[in-house]
Amino acid sequence: MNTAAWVTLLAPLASAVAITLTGNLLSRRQAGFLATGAALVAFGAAITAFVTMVGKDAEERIAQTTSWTWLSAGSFHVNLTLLTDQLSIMMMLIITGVGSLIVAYSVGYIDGDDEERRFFAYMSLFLFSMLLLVQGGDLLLLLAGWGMVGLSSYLLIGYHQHRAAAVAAAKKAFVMNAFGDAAMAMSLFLLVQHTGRLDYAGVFENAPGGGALATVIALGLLGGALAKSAQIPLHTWLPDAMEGPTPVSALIHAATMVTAGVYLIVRCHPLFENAKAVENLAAGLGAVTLVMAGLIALVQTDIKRVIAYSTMSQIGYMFVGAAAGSYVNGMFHLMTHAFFKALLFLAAGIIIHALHDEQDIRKMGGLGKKLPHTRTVFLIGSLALVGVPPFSGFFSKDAIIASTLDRGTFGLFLFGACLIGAFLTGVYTFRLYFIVFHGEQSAFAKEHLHEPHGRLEGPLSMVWPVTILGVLAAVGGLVQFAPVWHPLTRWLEPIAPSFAEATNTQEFIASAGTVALGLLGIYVAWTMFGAKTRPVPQPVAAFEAKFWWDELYDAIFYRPAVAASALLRRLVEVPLVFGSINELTRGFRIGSVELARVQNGLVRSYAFALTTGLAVLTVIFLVTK
Amino acid sequence: MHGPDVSWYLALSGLMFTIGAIGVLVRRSPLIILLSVEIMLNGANLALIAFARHFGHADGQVFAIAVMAVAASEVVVGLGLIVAMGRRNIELDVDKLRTLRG
Amino acid sequence: MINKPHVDWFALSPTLALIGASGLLLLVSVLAPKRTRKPLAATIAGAAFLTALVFAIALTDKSAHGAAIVADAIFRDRWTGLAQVLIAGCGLVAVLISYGERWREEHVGEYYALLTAAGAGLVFFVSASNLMTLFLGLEWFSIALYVLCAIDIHLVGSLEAGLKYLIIGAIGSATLLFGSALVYGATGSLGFDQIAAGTHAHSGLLVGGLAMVIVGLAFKTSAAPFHMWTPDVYQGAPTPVTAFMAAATKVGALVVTARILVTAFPSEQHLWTWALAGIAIASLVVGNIAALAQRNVKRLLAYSSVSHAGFMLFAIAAANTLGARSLMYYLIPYCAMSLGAFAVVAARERELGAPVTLENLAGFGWDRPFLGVAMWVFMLGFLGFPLTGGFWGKIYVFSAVYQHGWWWLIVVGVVATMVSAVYYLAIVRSMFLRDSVELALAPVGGAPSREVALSIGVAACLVVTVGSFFAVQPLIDAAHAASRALPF
Repeated sequence: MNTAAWVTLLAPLASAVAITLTGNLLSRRQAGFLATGAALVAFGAAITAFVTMVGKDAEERIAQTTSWTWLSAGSFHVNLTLLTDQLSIMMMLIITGVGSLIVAYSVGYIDGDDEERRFFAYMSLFLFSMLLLVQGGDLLLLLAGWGMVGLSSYLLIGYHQHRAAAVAAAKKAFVMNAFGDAAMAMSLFLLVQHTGRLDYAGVFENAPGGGALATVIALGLLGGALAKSAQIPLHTWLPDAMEGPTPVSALIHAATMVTAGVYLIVRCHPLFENAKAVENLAAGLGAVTLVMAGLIALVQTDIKRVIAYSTMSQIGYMFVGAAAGSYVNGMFHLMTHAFFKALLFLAAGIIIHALHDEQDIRKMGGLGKKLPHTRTVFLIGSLALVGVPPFSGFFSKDAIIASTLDRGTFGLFLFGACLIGAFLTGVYTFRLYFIVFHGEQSAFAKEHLHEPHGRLEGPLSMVWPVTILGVLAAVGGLVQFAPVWHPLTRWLEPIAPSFAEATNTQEFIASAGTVALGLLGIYVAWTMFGAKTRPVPQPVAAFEAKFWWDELYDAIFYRPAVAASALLRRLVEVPLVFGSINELTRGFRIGSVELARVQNGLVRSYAFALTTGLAVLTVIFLVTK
Repeated sequence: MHGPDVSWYLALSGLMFTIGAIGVLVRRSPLIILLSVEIMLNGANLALIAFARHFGHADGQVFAIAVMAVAASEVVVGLGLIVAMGRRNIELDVDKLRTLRG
Repeated sequence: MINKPHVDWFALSPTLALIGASGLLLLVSVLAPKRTRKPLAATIAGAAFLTALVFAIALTDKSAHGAAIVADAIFRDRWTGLAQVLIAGCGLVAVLISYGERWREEHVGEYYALLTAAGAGLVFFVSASNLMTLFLGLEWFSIALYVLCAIDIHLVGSLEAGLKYLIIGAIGSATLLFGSALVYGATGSLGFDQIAAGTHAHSGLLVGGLAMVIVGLAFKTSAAPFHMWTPDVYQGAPTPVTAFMAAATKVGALVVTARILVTAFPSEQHLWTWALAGIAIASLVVGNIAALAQRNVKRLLAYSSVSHAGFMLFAIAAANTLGARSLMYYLIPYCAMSLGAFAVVAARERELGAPVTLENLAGFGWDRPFLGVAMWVFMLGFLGFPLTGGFWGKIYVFSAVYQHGWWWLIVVGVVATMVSAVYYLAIVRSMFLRDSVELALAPVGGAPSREVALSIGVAACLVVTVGSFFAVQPLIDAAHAASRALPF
């Protein structure tokens, strides 16, 4: 039995259940500590599992444990199976590690909110769902985790349930994700039907090796991945999801939810490799997303939305990496991104906290002097995001970009997109940094930024996680440096052997290009927003309007659907359905009253029913024998 | 074997069963209803004994004796309920027992 | 010299434990001082059911090869054993529910004595292997239940319920007995196995007897049109008694129906499958439609139990191993949900001191969150929602019916389930979506007392209801082992 893996999975669930059941018995703070403790226990268990695994030979590292068989019919078994292998343990470490920092941070962040308990129960539930997704040993558990992640993100995004925007955003996220879930469920159903198996190994072995079926299956999986990871065309929920509390944004955008799509591609890579066209489609969509999200991020004025679009853009990189066949680099970027993106969100949370829930960057400015610690970690996060050596983003992003060069002409297109993205990343990231921290304090900041308790950057529970993440964002990339050492590649090789490997020359070209463009982006941002030597150009309408995706969906889906349903209602529902339902209800009512009248309380009528029934049955038996 | 054919016994027992059933259906006093139920049970008993004699087995007769004991205890419970009703001044008329209905 | 049959005491142990406790309890009700009578009696009854449960489990475990024992009077096999486990479990929960009932002190000992006696009768009933033990077992638990229904003569309708149950029950028993006599006449034997062997196929006597046996047993399962006593008795009887009846009697009647039809009347299968299908459909229609207009919750649940009898008769009507298996499985969550639902009703009743209606359930879910959520789960379970065993129960019954080739029965079942959603959800709605303040209902005697025993009982039911969804495989395996005892 793989006890550590079970502890990892069940600790957050136990905390969610305990917080829900104890209700008022638990104070808000205690609930926060319970949730943090559970996340830490899960992290500890994940480390234990990791250490155990490191001690084993590469072939023995994949451990499948079945706790019980739920249903079995013939050769088809539905089990509760956990799969602990190199890939899932990496995800477990990221989720519980970054997750526990975020939960700890929210103890300070949410303090004072009346319903803090509920928040921590949701956070724990979210961690559990995500762990179920990555630890599940078969397709059914994957789907269950997938759906539960959608559900708990709905709960968390809509946490401020009195705010209409939050509720709308939660709904949007849920609908978009349900779309993806449906696509994924369809392809899982096809897989089960075709292979008669549920476990990964069995499914991959027996999956169709090509042709239309393989393509349809891969397309369905891609649909699920696109929705969860907010890639074009199912991306519009992500920026709106910023309505949730900031730790939620950090959890959704950094450690968990959005990375599920990348995990899915890597986990199910045999299925994608069977459908090359879909794989290229995924990479292409990732490339388009990373450029488009970068452009939109240039003009956003909400601090969290800028970071949210940057997430979309970075996930685009991961898609390019994973779908182009460089699984390790995709996972590598997933890891470093978890560090620096959680860092950026949590730092943004400190700013928002200090400014009394103001998120508009136009009202900020010159915060650097008052929030020096936050400024430092934010700078680290920004440099990591842009990919400036030696910060973590450099290693992982460059590895992805370099590996695209190994993919021929299509790779060149991806390469170009990635370079443009690198430049845009530099611009929007440092636009944000300069506007928020640089220069003179804005009037708004002067008015609001004062410290009643002397701790402007928040309580220790907020400062520490941010600091730890700052360290990780700075040095986390040193785990692997493609030309020199690659422990991560060796680690993941048995699960997902990459088929796109960059040569050292390609690495060099990519690195030089990316770093140069990133620095150029920073320079442009500096001249416009930092030194203000150049006027800021008018924002392009298309960027402002987020390329009209929402409007497009409105026109294509929402309005025709409304029109059609209005028409159907007028022509079919009102006269036919309502009419018949009314009649039916009336019929049932009458029947019910009549039966009550027959049930008149008289013993003789009961006896009569009995004897009549007997007589009828006897006669029928005697006649038909 | 002496006496009438087993089918006559069967006819008589069927008749008793029917009479009992009709008694339950038409009478209003719980006492008489209990009596009618007794007639139904005894109709069945008669059939059992007749068949037992017909087959020359004892098990039908044993069954009949057991049924008598059971019927007696059933009547005891019934009488107990009737006494309880009498104590609470409830009229001994099953047609008046109509608070539970619908 | 009298030939003494070999007596397998172990096979009789659940019955003996319960009947022994019943005698002991009668002594307690006379000898124990008044103050200690209630806790003592409840403890003895609980211990008796627990002992019976343990014995029944051991018996099930050790009876892999079924056989008729004690001069072919009773069966010792897993079909019997599993049913005994269920009945003993129901009794245990019923004791927990009963503890807080406001009995008049002098009736407490007798109450538990009768409860254990009824349990003993049921446990004996499900082991019956010939028509005589069948009838004796039936009367045994029935007579105990007649008194139990009427035991609280201060309760409105308790006496009426008792008398009605007695009269109609006596007719039912007489019908069963007469049917037994006819079957005996047709085959010359009382044992189930010998009946099957000695059948003169399709003789009028046998077929007529079969019809009467079916009616007598269908009466106990409260299947329409033999169900009419059910709502009145369930409503009038003290709620813990109703809970026990609704769960344990149903187990006994259905398990025995399946056993006798499959074992003794295989040659008449073409008749009884159709008869049961018809009765089941009638039960679904009558139970669900009549429940729609009910306001009294106990009465509503009574009609719901009629409709569930319909579902479970589907399983028997399918006449295949899958059907027997699904019947056994269905009974597990069904018992838990019935007991739990009536327990929640009992809690509310004690709080208000009045019969529970949909109106005065208002706000209950918020006042007593645990019981409210539990009731919510039970209602969803009755409906057959996933995450409750009711879901798999319905799925298995439907697949058994499908295997028999009667897909149209599935259509009936699905429509019935849809209709039943109206009244099950009405209960949930009035518990959670209505405010207790607006109805100006206050609990009698200030704050509601938190009954630990009842809460434990409800928790146990909740665990079984939800647990049977997750642990479906081991339970189905057990049901499968039990169904192997039936000669399909």
